Amino acid sequence: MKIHAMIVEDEQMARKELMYLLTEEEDVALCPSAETGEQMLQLYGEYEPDVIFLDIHMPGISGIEAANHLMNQFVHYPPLFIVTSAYDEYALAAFDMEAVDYLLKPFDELRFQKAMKRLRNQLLQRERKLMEPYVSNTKSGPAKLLIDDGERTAVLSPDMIYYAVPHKRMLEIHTKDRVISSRMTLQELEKKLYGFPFFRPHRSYLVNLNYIKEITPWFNGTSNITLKDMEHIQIPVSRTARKMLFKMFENNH
Amino acid sequence: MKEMTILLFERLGLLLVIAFVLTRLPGFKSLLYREFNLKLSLVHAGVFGLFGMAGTMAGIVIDGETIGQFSFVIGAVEKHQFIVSLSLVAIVIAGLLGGPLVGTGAGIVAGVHLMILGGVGSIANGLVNPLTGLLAGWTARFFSQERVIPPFKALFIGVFPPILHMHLLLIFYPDSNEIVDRIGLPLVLSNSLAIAIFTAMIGIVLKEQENEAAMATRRALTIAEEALPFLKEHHSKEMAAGLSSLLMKRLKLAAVSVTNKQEVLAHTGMGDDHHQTEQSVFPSLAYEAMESKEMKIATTRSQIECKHKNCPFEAAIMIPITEANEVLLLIIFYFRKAHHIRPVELVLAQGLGQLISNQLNILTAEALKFHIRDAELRNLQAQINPHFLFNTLHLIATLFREDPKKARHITVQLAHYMRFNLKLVSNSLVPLEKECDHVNAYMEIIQARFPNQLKITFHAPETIPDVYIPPSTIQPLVENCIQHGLRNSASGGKVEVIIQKQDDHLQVIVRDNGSGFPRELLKQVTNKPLTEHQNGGTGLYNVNQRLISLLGEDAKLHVDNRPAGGSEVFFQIPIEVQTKRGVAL
Repeated sequence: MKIHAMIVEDEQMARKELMYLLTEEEDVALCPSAETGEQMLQLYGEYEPDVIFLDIHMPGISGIEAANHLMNQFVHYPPLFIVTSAYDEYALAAFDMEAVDYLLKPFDELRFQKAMKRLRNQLLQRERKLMEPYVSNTKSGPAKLLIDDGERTAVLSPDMIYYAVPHKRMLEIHTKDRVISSRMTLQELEKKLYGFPFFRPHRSYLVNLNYIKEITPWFNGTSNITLKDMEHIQIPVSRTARKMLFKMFENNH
Repeated sequence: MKEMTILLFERLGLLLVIAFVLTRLPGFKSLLYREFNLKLSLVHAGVFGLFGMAGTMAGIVIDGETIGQFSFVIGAVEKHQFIVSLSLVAIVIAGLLGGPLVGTGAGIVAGVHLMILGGVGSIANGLVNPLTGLLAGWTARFFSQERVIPPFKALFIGVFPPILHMHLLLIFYPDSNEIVDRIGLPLVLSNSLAIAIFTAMIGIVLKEQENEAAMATRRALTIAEEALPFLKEHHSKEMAAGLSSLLMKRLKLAAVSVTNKQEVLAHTGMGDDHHQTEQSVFPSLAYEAMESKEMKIATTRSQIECKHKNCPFEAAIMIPITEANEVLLLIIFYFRKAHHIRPVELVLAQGLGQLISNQLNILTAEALKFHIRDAELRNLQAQINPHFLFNTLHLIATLFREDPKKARHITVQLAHYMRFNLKLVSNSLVPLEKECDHVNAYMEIIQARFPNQLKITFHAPETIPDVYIPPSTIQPLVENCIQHGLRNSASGGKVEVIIQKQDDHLQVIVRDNGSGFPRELLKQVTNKPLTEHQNGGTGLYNVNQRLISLLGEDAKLHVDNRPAGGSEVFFQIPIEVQTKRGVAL
């Protein structure tokens, strides 16, 4: 699978330089470039690149501000950043936003290769970490879950749960024949289900992998999941999640 | 007794007239100032002794019951006659002013003279003088904190010597009570009063002298102030010539020389036939003065060491002028006679030396401060913004592949830009044409980096006037537009640089169509470095500082927001004055 990269840079020639360097890499697919931080925020939702090559000094909001914005918005699968700058004064800020690397302009080819290597490693690590709960199928934790819906406590086994989605400040937990509303958060549920085959295809959905019937492509690399027994329900899958989903099925089956 | 008193007062009046004339003589004043040593004490004893003799001569001779002789007591008197001497007045003054030694000395002189004159009671008359001198001298010790005894105290002290005199008379000549009766009271009255008046006169003379010292200080101040324009002169010969003619005009001197360590720079006044400029041989005293940085005084011809036989000078004061603890100049005051150097002259010379040295130091410090500040600002300006440099290099790196011709062009522009910045440190003013080249190089690079976001235009007359300008003044203004004014415009930004002639001025205008200056910064941006402000900077402030310090207040930056949006920064420089200054630097 290719690494999707986006360039955020206000200088035309500097964009061209990066484009050139990235097209030389066989495993990189370029998304359209952004010329300002605002434009990046716009384009990100559309393309969800794995990595953003980010210039700091740009008209309007700075690269750092734009990146912080993105990371707050996409907490679950934030993109990776490689900061590109003419000077090293933003190194600390880059460290703060956990950038993969800090490339000084003009780019040194060897240094650029090193940054790409680092990027590949981190993407791999991240994938592994995200898939860990599903890959290692040796389950732990209780076989039954206690879900308090405010009035009574329901006892569920994980394999009864089809999917969960927050709705009006409550968490709706869908089983085959009923919906349980609880005050717990999606994160809390995800934690409780650690080790069971549950996956977040989108920041507000948790799905039982065992009930996935089909994955249908939507637009811009996103997809929808259809579940067994619940064909009327379409669960959105982000582009990043889709990639992982495929990887998971490849590994397990 | 009444006649006797009146007569004595008359005679004392005469004596006081003489004393008054004496105090007016220049020599007398020196008598009051000098430190006491043995030799001088003897001289003073002699002088007051003579004054005492005059007192005796101004006295009268009585003969039994009548006044025997109205005329002055010149020669010896007959055995039965008695001299009523007024010498005690002089002796008391001598004692009070000069102490026991001078008092006794004067007393002895006057006493011996009285004894030689003879007459009744000559031993008592003679003895009372040294005795009085000694006692008056001792009395003076009680008043040592006062320079001159106040007249009232002197009046009181003056009562005692005549009483002592009468006692001695009665001791040595028991049958003289008749004389004592006749002259006792008149003598006490007249003597004490005369002593009081005399002390008052001395007090006046001293006060005059103090006034003179104060005047000298004031004069020194005035002269030092007048000397300021000459001290500002960069050329040492012109400075020396101005200084010497000023001193000559203001002071009563025979001549003035101003030298540096090597040669005479200027000489005004007498002896200019052989005391000429560029003379490089100094008297050893002059070297001593320069070595020790202290004023030296020559009081003989041999000390001046002038080989010329008709040299008119006998005395000189040599005043070293120091700058930063180094002797820079030596000012020599020449006098025709040694006694022309009075204490006042010394005070004046000393004061002038210090004042001129101080002024030189202040001037040097000011000049140094200015240079340091200017160099500092230029250094700041010369620091190439690293973002600019590396972004440009990055641009060139890309252009090698995309457009090799343009890569070459931009490389050359960057070279121009950097070469200018390197030279910035060493030049405080550059021709406007060079400055324009610098701005052009900068603009070309920026334009190549942001071809779609920015349009920079440059309007200048065909031939750029031959004026000089602090280097890197226009470029920071353009940079300011791009960095701040157009900070938030991703496209459609415009920067205009306009250089135009307006009468005898050259106007430089830099404007943009960006966001303009924040209202609260508009007033401050040129007046203080805005380091705390998040969008602030020191660019405009530094440019403004250099424009003002090098071209004057009229060249200062005018900053404003345009009604249609964006900002305008503008300054003007006079065309003519500029050309001259440029050459000098």
